[in-house]
Amino acid sequence: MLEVRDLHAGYGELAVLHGVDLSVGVGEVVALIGANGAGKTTLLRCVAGLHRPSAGALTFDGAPLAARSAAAIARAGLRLVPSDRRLFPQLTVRENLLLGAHPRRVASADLRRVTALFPRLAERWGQRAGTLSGGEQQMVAVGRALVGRPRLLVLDEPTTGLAPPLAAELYAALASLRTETGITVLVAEQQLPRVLAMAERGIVLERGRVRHRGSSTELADDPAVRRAYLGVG
Amino acid sequence: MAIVLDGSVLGLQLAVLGVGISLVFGLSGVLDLAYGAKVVAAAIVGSLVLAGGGPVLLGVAVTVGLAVVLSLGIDRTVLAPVYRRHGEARVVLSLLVTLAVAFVIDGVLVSRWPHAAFSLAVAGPPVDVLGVRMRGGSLLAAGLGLVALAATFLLLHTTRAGRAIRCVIQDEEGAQLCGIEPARVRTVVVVLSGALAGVVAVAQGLASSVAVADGFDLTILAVVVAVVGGLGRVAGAAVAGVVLGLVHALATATVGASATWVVLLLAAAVTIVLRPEGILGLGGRAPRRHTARWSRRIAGPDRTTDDDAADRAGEGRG
Ligand SMILES: Nc1ncnc2c1ncn2[C@@H]1O[C@H](COP(=O)(O)OP(=O)(O)OP(=O)(O)O)[C@@H](O)[C@H]1O
Ligand SMILES: [Mg+2]
Repeated sequence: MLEVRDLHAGYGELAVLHGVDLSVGVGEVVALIGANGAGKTTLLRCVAGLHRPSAGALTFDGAPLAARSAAAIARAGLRLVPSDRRLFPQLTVRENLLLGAHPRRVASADLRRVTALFPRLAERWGQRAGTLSGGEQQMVAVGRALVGRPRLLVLDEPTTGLAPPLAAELYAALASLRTETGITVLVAEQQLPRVLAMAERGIVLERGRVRHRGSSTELADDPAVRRAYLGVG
Repeated sequence: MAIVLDGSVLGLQLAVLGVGISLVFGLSGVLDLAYGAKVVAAAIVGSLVLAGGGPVLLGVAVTVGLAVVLSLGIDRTVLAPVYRRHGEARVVLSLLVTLAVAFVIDGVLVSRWPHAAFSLAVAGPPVDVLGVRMRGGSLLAAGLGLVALAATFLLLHTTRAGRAIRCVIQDEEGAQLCGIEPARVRTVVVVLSGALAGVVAVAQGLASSVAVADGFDLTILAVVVAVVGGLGRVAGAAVAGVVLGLVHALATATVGASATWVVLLLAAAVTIVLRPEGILGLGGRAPRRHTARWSRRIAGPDRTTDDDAADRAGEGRG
């Protein structure tokens, strides 16, 4: 579904990604693991069309993404939930969610699915998004992506800044979403046990290069990965 | 009472001016110092139609139409390099470029039609409003301003296009993530802002007249109104316009026309000191400085806009 080939990207003089290869198949959940500054966000922003790679190829459903705008990529069903959420702070929770399917109207069934997934959003329906807690904002951001009926959901560190119970709640919701809909997910994360519990495969990025790749169990058992990301081993 | 009514008539026009300039700034960080020049250019061409014996409605249509065409034309040509900059660089460059455009428009108008003026005479006796005798033209101008403001608010708050505009104003990247094309939204806003400039020209023609030399005054008024309203805030600009119109009328009646500008700017300065986020205040949000808002909204060397996407497509072919 998503193919990333030999991707190079950076910021001006600074090269961040040095030839990254990655693929996500239909129905898979793939974890993108890496320490701070490894280049996870840069990679995901390239995928979403928000950052322009300096070299390499990106294809989604076999079609190249290079000439498409970020908005066109979103409409094509590749939805990024950035770590800073990017909600519309002055609009209510409901209004934020209603925007997710632009230019289509959001189906009420999709809205119901979001509130079933995140019941606490129903209590905050009329509240301005800017006044929500970080965890609630993250739920709105995921919900806003879901009402757009994504075929590939891309999450950038969805639990950043969330207290452990909220992070657990979010991952539980994602897991149930996955069993219900079989949605394809690419998720960047530093919280290893949690993300590996959900993902089939993982890719470990280190300073802009893929260091390890393998199934979730392989990665969880790999001594080097355990040392670097689980603080054990 | 007469002061209040006069002030309201002027205020509604100021509100339209402020909304017109504020919409574009809110969306793209371009502060259009050619806004007044566009009003005047549209008005003067409208006056040529009338002078040539054209019917009034044709003159009005040409005025509004030309304002829209000028707006889009300038946006697509000289502003293109401005949109390739981000953050503060874009704001600063937009000031220089639009100021240059204003000088060019002004120069052409002054050299070609130095004595032209646009005015739409309304026949009939004065009308009695709340015990004050008002000219029909003034009332029509006020009505036109009111209709234009109402239409703008309905567009922004009840249509899907309007919702897209508000989203891009609040968070351009968030809008892109929802599938909204900022470039398309910008076209709608530039057309709307141009139409509002045309409305100001027509309303001013109804209330009194638009002369060739009025461009810079109109721009300064628009900027002051937009700043008092909280740059980029449409509702704030509308309220600020009416308030400053009343202040203007009051100042003219008490301290005289010569000191009016000083009073107006003082009032603006006081508002900005007391309410840095604009006359309507924070609207329930946590305090954030405009600079932070702007650098976040149009931030980042890594931002890929639709212009960039177009560049990429172009490179692919080349
Ligand atoms: N806008 C930017 N301008 C310049 N350098 C940047 C920019 N964004 C990121 N970088 C640099 O690129 C490198 C990779 O950053 P990136 O955000 O992709 O890492 P990350 O893996 O997402 O890290 P984190 O886990 O902290 O979010 C870092 O060294 C960072 O300083
Ligand atoms: Mg990151």
